[in-house]
Amino acid sequence: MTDITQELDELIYSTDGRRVSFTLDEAIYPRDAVYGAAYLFVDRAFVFLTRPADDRIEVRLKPKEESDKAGLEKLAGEYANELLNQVVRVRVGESTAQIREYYMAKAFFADSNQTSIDALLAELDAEELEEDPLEISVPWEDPSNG
Amino acid sequence: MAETSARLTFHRSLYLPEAVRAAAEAYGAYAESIEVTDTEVETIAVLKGFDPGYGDVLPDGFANHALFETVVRTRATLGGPA
Repeated sequence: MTDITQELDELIYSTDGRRVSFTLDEAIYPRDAVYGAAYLFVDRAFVFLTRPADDRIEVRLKPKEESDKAGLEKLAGEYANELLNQVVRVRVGESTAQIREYYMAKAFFADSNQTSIDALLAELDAEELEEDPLEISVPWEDPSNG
Repeated sequence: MAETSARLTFHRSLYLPEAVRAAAEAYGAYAESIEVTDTEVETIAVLKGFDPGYGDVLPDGFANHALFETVVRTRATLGGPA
């Protein structure tokens, strides 16, 4: 079967009629993004990754269902779209990592939390010290005295 | 069962060796033997003696499983959701 190389907008892919493959630059598409997109496609297609060069990842997609050329092109396009989503997700994750760490640290170690817990405990103590007009506490006393 | 075999090569920068071994365990019942060996840069899985009726589905499914395990294990290591 002849390999055909075609361009889908910016994605250059090749197909042998059964599968579609394309090579990605890892500097643009980090490995985590490739993984993220692959993870979402394993139920629809057989995904295989190879390393044609140090900074390149080749993605091969083979649909699980019978597919024609248009179906393969669609699959490649959908993978490329998902790949962009995943790249954004990875980049946002990286750029907000410090902020997340800061809030986590604040949530776990800040004094304000302890203060609010102390206030709640003091409130409970105060309630326990109030009068008991219904004498609910009586059953707990020694029955021989009653 | 007719002698059918497939040799799959997984680059270690893309597939965790333990993920390939997990795939071998998961697919062990479908082949007479699955041998997994490591080189410096690759993990090689050789599937032997599987039903030819499976065609490419068995090796393709094996590779999918290895990739799935790699993604899940990598994310678990990083502390994120699977």
